[in-house]
Amino acid sequence: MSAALSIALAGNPNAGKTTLFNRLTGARQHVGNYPGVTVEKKEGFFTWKGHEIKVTDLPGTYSLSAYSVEELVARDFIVNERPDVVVDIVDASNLERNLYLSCQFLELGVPVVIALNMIDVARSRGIEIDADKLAELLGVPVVPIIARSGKGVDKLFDTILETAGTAKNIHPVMLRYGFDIDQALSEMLPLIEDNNLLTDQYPARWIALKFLEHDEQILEKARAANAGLTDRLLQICEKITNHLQQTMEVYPEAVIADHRYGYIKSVLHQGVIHEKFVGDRLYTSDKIDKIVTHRLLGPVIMAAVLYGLYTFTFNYSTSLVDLLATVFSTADTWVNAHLPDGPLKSMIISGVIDGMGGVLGFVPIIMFMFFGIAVLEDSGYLARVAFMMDRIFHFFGLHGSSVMPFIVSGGISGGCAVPGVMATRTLRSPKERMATLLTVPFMNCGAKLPVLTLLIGAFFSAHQARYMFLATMAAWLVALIAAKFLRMTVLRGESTPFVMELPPYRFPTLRGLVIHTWERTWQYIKKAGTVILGISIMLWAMMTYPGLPQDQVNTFARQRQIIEQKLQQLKTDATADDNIRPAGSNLMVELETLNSNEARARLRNSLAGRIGIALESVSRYAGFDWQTNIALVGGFAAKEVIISTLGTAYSLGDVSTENTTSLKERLAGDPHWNPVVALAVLAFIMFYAPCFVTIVCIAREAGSWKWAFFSMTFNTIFAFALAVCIYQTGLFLGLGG
Amino acid sequence: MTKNHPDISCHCRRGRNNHCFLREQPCPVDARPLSRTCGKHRVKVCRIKGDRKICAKMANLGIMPGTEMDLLCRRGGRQCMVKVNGATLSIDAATADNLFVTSV
Repeated sequence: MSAALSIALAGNPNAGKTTLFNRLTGARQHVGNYPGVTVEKKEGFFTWKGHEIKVTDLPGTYSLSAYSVEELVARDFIVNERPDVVVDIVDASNLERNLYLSCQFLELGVPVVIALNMIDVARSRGIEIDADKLAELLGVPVVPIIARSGKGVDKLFDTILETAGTAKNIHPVMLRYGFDIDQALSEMLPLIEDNNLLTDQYPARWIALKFLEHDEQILEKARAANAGLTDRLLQICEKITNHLQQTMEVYPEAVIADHRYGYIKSVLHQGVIHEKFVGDRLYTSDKIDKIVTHRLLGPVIMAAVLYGLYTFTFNYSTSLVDLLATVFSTADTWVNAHLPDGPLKSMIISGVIDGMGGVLGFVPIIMFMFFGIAVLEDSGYLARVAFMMDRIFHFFGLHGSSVMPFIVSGGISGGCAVPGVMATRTLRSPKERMATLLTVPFMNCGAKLPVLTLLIGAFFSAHQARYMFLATMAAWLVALIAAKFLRMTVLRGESTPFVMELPPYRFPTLRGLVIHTWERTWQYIKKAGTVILGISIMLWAMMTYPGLPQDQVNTFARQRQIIEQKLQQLKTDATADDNIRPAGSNLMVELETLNSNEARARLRNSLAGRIGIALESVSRYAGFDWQTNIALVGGFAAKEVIISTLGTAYSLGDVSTENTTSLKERLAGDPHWNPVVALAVLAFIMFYAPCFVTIVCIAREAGSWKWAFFSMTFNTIFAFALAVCIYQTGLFLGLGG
Repeated sequence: MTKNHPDISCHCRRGRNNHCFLREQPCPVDARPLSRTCGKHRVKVCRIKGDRKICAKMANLGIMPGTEMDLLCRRGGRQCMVKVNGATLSIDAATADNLFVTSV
């Protein structure tokens, strides 16, 4: 087999790159990020006629300028990695605009094969394209294909191999840009060539064009290479810019774009394109949009679709979640039965199995959520949701696409911030993405719901539904205000203009859906799994060590022994007298109370317990006692832990999230608790630091632990300030009695 | 909305604000920003204002003076969906403020 050929798939967004990529590589693909940015890097392999071919799916771009991360990434890849062939996927039904990018590849002098995709769509619109004529005029191979069905793909492979074999001496195409620009280019070219300014990477004429377009990346590179020459070239650019501004009130890049489109038009008008009939300008997609983005119907349909996604994700994944829970529970039981009691067993059960179980337990939810999102994304509906929501979200410094992560994280109550954080990948603008990433944990996820239900049920049972609704509204309000605050402070900057192409509605392919779902789910498993083990063991250690002093352990053991002896005695006497059964029950209760007291004492003595006690000096301003503090510290691991830790701290033993009645009664009857304290705790739990799985995901998605720590600190300070306000106001109004 | 908004005609006649593209003919007096254009109909871009980035982005998307496009949504240009060269684009209000169009 020959050495691997490298090809890059480039093209406009929605031109069909990913469809072709999935068809070529199937499951043999790897998704990562380009270094330093959050743009996805997809690579895969396939074999054709004995040649191993490595394919890179570049992000969709409209040009090779430096105005977006995607454009920079695509350009850098082509220039630095120098693939053997660049396959430019061109949407045949929108040829003129798609060839604008092709034109720039030709100017860059890279080996290009044009894949004329969606010729069937073009034909249905009455557009016939003479691919041979186009190839002749552009000087590069043009292969008509239909990526969805695979038609023409074999010929494309053959052409790629041919081009790779003959593409050693490609000469950049030289377009004419009118008298003014051409004169400036003729002044700049000798300077660039004589001084070899970046000519080892780019063609000289292309560098000169980028100077005229004021391309910041190229200017920076040129300055680093030769500052004096860069200034001289910039003087020429300034002269021509001033001239164009004075005479035509335009920038050089406008003239350049004008001439590129002029060149494309001249090519197309030489018999390349034939419009057989002038079809209805409004296609089926536009007719669907009339309904789907209607002022009144649109939001109703959107709410229904989002509710459907939400239901699909959280209801239909239940059986798989339960299955995984059973697997981990079986593992727990097995370890419990086969390992001797001691720290190792405790660590394996509470640290490793429960910790990993907590993370992997999310996998079915994540998988279902990404499948649902893939359906919406591939069908083209997600772009419409972003379009409809942009106006509202824009006010808060977010992007229309932010709505999906908010909903998934619990916007309708009961979601999960982990897939919510992962769903921010659909956002392309970095600052809006970061603001979304940091505010989605404010939503009421499924893990917070039992805690909210417990506290509302205990203290506000008369208005339970109303308080639950208010909690959801408060979550939205706080998240949006926090986003606005972040965008005005640490994430300050202009909003990214919401100019995006809305893809036509299409039926998603099952192959595409499965690949999209799996690649994102696998990323979660891999990324979350790498650090999760260490963190879960650390949290287990915090709640376990240091253990109880030996004298206390001995005291509890003695008391247990006495009760067990009494129980044994009763069992021996049981056959003789049935009246001793109540006494047995009392002893069992006594034993359970003893176990609970021991668990409570152990927790109090642990590092987490000591932190809880130490925090009491500050937390009392919000009305939290040390038991509550321990539960809240435990909540860093997972919000579900709050209930079980409260149960332990209030000497109730293990309390499951499904059965909280006894804890509810205990809290309602506890002299320290009252509606004001409950409200303060409620507010704190809703808004303080996200659980550690979410924190890990934030760190991974943001590309830095700095943002994960920021999220923990910012949310906790905000939540505590809110809790203090609520508690102190309650006390001031005399409601805390 | 009046057809001949004074601010708009003023922009078009004086044209001192960084115009992006070559103007083959003067912008008509009734040209208005896309953001102030209502209803569903076909419009023609006569001028694009704004900084270099906006101009370049518009060019990349194939929106240039002389480009004809269909305004798709009834609510008009504030939150705007247009059909250009066979593609459907959504354009936010800030960008739509910079696109001057006339009815076709």
